[in-house]
Amino acid sequence: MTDSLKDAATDLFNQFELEDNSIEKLMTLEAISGSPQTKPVIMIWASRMAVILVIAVMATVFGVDQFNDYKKQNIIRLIVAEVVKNHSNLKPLEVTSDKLISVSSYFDGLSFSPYSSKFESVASVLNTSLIGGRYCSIQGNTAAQLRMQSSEGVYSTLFQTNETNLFSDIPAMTDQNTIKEFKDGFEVQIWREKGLLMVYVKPASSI
Amino acid sequence: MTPFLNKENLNGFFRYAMALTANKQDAEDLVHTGIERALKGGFSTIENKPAYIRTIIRNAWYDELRKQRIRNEVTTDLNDTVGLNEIEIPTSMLEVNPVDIIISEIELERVWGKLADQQREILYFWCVLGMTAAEMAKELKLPRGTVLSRIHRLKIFFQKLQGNESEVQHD
Repeated sequence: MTDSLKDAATDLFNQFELEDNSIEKLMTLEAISGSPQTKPVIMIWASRMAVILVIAVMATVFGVDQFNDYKKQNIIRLIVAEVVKNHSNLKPLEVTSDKLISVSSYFDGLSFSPYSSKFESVASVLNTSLIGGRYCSIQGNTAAQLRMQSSEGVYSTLFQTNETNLFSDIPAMTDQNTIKEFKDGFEVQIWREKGLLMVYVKPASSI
Repeated sequence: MTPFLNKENLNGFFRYAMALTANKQDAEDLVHTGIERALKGGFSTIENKPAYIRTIIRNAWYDELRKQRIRNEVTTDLNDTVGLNEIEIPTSMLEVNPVDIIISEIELERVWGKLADQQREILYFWCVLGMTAAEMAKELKLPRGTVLSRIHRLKIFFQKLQGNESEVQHD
């Protein structure tokens, strides 16, 4: 059929059509990219995702912090309970001496030699009141238990064990300050010093 | 609100790509390329989105031709075939209407592949989109005279096809 060039060209071009799946793909591109029509929807979703992401990050950060705090408090609580029990039991000494060097030499099963602390009040008691020692453990780590007895008959105990990851959240002693806890009428001081965990237990009422 | 990339618009771009490539697969690839590139670059701020996408499609097509190093060859061959390069354009021929040219769709389809991409492009703008020479010049970023020249050559081609060459030259 003879027609004008305009009509013939229009009819010819109108024969050319994209496959439906191609059209779907292209329309999806617009939705994904955020065209003017779809941008608000995408932006809403992006905003929601951003909020969720922020919450997730905060939960992770604060969650980790809280977990670490819990872990730290938990290990302190466990140590306090264990050392107070050990101190109270007053199990027989395995080595008796008022000389630290003699008592320390007994602990050849340890990877360190128990020594006097930089913590002055403890060092003072250790120098003047040491009566002996015995092996024990703190949270499964072999430890030295150094027992002191004052002239008034008051017992105090210094525990020393290797510093492990388990105790990494416990702060090192700074300016004679330590973690101080109380349990069952006992005062427990905990600190890290020169690669060792040290725990000192004495009756809360004693000076 | 209806998405801009609806079936009608997408088929419009496909037809334009067909005008350039005369090949369905190439045309489809071009449309994909054009849409993807358009959506990457601040599409929402574009005023004339159809023209913007057609320009991307066109540039992509010429890039492809450049890569294939066949553009000059194709253009030269087709212009030589039609034999229109040296024809002077009479002033009276500068305003022509595609309605005045008579051809059947079958005949057009037959010669479709013989047209150069530029000629098919003009055919699409002129006959399908109904653009004026000024509108085509604006979209193609060409002088209006160049567009009129292309329209004229296209008309000559079809009139030659109909054996009316002598009549056209007398106009």
